[in-house]
Amino acid sequence: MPREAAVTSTSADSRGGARRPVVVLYHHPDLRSTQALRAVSAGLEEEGVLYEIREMADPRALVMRAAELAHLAASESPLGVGVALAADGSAAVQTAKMDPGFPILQTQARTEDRLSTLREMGHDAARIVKGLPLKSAAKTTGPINHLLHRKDM
Amino acid sequence: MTVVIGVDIGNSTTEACVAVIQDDGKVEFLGGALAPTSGVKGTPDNVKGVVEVIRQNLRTACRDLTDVGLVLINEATPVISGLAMETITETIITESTMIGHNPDTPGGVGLGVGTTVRFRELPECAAGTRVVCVVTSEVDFADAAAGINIATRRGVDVQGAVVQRDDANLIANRLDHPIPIVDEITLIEKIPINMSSAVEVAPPGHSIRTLSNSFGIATIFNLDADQTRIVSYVARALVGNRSAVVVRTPHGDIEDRVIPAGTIELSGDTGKLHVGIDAGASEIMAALRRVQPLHDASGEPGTQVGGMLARVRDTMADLTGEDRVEVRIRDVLAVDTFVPQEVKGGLAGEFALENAVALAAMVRTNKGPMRALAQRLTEALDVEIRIGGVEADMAVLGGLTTPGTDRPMAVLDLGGGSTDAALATRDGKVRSVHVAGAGDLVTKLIDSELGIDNLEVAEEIKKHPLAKVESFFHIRLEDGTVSFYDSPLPASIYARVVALTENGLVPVPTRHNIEKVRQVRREAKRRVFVVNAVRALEQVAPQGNLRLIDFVVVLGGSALDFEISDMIAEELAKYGMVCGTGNVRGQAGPRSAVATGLVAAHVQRIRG
Repeated sequence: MPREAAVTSTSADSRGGARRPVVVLYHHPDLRSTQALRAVSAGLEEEGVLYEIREMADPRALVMRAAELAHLAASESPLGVGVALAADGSAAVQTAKMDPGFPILQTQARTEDRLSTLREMGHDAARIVKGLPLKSAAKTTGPINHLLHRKDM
Repeated sequence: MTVVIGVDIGNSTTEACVAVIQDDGKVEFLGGALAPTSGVKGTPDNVKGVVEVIRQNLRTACRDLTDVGLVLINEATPVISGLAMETITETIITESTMIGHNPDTPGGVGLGVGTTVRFRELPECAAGTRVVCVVTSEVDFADAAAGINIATRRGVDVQGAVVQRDDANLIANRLDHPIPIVDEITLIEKIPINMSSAVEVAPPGHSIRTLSNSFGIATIFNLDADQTRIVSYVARALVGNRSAVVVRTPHGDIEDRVIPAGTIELSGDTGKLHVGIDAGASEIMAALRRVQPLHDASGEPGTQVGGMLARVRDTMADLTGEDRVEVRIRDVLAVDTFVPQEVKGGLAGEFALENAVALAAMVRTNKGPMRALAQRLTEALDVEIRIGGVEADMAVLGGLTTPGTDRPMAVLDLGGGSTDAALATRDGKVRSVHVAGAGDLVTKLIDSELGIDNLEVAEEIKKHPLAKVESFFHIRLEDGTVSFYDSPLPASIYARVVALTENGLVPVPTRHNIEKVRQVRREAKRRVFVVNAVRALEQVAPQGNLRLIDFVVVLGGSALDFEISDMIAEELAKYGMVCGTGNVRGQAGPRSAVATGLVAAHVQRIRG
């Protein structure tokens, strides 16, 4: 009935065939909360970015933390952006080109208003694809000075 | 051999330069230093800053205070300036008639017209009625979509929806028949129910067509000519939006109120003139030119401009310790501007661009405290202090140490509060003028036009080029070049417009794109510095003719700016002037001109 912009598929049929421009959303098989999955995908859908939900079946990946799982998801996404929900409910957003240990966004398992945080992560994963400022960044006001090494081209 | 120090106390910085004068009169400069000015310039509060800068300078010059024979200070320009900005229009919505905001992701496409109905009352609507559904935040998006689908199947003509949460696409994707949906309406409970309304969402890349057109709204709501006139304010406020909602209430009213801005009275040599502030900046400046030189300016009491000038006067009286009736405003610079302000009575934090006038005013201060300052400095340093000369004369002398210059030469000193011009003619005479408006006004304009409300950030935007963070590893500068970073950039500045400061990237808190921010920055500089450069030079030029000036050396803190000098040079080239940023002593850039001039004047005096 719902004509969703997203495709929900098992990992088997999605790996082959045409690579659609999707954000990959990995989740641990033990993940109880479909609410959490729904919140993340709602964020992605509202932004109009296609996504694919995949259950992590590989036993080696089962012990991964959300950060590493998100990196794995990103590396499988043609858009290079992945989201992961780990068994404990923690979540992370990462792009394929970044260090697996340092996710762009992550949230702990037990936070208040967890669902709205997860929804926001969905939005932000989509916004990374779209090249828009992140929703979570809107809260950081005022000047933030980052001293960084710069290489001019 | 004597060691002398020239010290220039400016509005915001105190500069010094140490020089050794040999017995044969040859001068060797040992470099300069600068420190923030302590207190209002020309007052005994400056002692701290002066002592600091002298210490610093002697350290770098490897000299001791006991070596110093003489400290020269300038007769500080007896002007200080103040700023005021006031909106002269105001948009007020009474009984909420419009919601015109740009949520990032409205849903559906098209125009829907119907009566507003609460979501939970949708089942009670009769088949055939045309409705716009109002969905509050406690309704889940799937439930909202299901409810609308059920109603539609029953024959209710659901034309559109307004949603409190960011759910527009989620609902639109689940509907059997797509409808336009506007979301993120924060104050949704204020939407009047059972009123006729219209919802419009434009396709991606377009802006709305019907609700931004007065006659479009008139057609939808069957308005007569008088009602259309009122509603034209709504239409105007919605121009350029991707989505909008208009609700028509029986007594609904939107006002685009013009606040009584009042008139400004300019009294000068040639008489008095009254100008209405709403006539705009160019009228005020034209009137000012007619009465110049200005003796005083005042505003009509009880009006915006009256308040503005009274505030400037109060600040000046506080700073100088003079009686406020004694404070005379000797120059004003009026600049037209606009300020994004939240619409009173709006429902989603809508902003309207209100017209505003910014005024920089300059007052002359008493010259008295200078002696007191010299006295205090002598006590603090135990060195002979001499008031070496008038600031403008000194600036010219210092400016003339720039390689490639000759008289007749003008210097333009671009400061924080005032823009000063001085002209040195071939016979050695110096004419000078101070006009209101400089760097501080530029910062204020950038701050208010971009709606930043943070002067520190506005200052960073003023001083530095912009860039857009394009990925976690690279940024694109405003000129199109790309810079890469070794470590990933923080998520908080991803895809944002940032200012490229010495301390890193400072995000600009705005939704505007980089071109818009750049345009606001450059326009602010043009309206203050380019306008003031011409205005000031006209007043010192022989017979007011700019073509009779050969060289213009740009000095002062704002001359260090990466684009202001170029903008001025471009404008002055039209008058055949050679204009450029000063390079005092061939090494100090546009800084330290007055301090250098003090030493140069001293040497001229000993040589006789």
